[in-house]
Amino acid sequence: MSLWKQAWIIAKTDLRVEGRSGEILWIVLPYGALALFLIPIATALPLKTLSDIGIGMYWVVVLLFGMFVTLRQSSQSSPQERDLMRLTLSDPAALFLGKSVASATLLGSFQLVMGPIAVAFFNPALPAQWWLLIPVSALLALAMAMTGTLVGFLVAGTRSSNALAPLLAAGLAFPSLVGASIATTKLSDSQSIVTPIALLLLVVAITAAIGMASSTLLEDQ
Amino acid sequence: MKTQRTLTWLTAVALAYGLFLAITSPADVVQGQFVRIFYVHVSTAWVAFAAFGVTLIGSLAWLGFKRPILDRTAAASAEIGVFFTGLAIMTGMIWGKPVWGTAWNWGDARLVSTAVMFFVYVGYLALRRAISNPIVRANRSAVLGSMAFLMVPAVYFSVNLWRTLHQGPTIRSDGASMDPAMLSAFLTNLAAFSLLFVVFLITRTRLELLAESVASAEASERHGLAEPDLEML
Repeated sequence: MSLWKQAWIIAKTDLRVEGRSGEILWIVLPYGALALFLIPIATALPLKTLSDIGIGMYWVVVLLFGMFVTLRQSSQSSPQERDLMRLTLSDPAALFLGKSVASATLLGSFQLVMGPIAVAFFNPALPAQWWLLIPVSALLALAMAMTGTLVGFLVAGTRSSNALAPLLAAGLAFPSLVGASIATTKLSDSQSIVTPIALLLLVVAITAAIGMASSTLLEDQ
Repeated sequence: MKTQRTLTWLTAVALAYGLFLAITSPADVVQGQFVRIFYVHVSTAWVAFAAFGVTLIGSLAWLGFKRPILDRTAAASAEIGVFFTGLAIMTGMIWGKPVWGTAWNWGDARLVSTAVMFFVYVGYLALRRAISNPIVRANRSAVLGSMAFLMVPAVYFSVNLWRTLHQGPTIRSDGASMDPAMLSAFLTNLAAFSLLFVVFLITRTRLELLAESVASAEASERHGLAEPDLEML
């Protein structure tokens, strides 16, 4: 079976498991919305300032709560599951790809729901070509999903992995967040977003290369 | 051991001379006396970048050759890098307060990205502490050490991509933009701090080796004590 076929099966299985557990729908999404709700209360900023920081707050919530999405319980493989994967001679790179695709799909859905909530709460001044933020969001989702999946492999079975994973993932996702933030600023100033898109593509390419190259090494733990 | 002692003394002399030049060099037209912090600030930032570079090389070399010394060197260098990144941030803040009017400025990409790089490498050290199996620890640290290095170009080029208050390159390709006395103080401090990094790296790598020997001896001792209990059963 080809690498892509294996990755597709793994992604479908992961999404099915998530569909049954509902961890994102019932826990992460309400939690993210609550965070967006609490920011204006905690800062007590004037409406104009809240409107100015609205898109930025959205990106921060996507980054921080996106970590919960990529590091969700349903994406973690038990030692028995990993043994089974080895016995079926599945390619470790397919595991990385499949889990990344599943996480990217969930992150994209997470962003789709959080976007209108952020617009409703903060009433931000959206750029005229706001639809160009869609490919930016998709690339951000892919970059964060790959980073989160790789971090999940790195911390699997370690002491204090629950605390360590978000620290690593949030730090390593920083270039992606910068890319998304620059794209928003440039769009607001009616400038080209080729540079931030290129930055996001570079992050995706490098993370994919490291993740696929190290997957065999990380599987043999 | 004798070479290390000589290197340590050489480093001490270089640091003292660097300090002397930093104090006696002329004050800056714009920044006044505060320019003296710059000699330490840039040198510590340079050492931090170099240390993370050594971590990358050690990590890649471990993945290729699987020699414990390579993993030990990568870890020691990351520790030193975190220390010097912290120093670079602190000296930057001390300089920023009188010159920018604030110790921390969110509008400066290099400042913010350096702080994020600091936390990424703190995570690297935390990951090492969380894994007890030395082979697993070395493998996973090597992957993270390679990936975390992406933060170094991100920090360096952040000023070109993002908003910034940081000044441009101090030494440009069209010739130095500094007074010769200031340039001399700057380069001497850069060399002195580089030597300090080498001394720290050798010492920390040796310490790590000693710590591993002690841990191994303790494990053997525990194993030795466990045997009588088994006999009693």
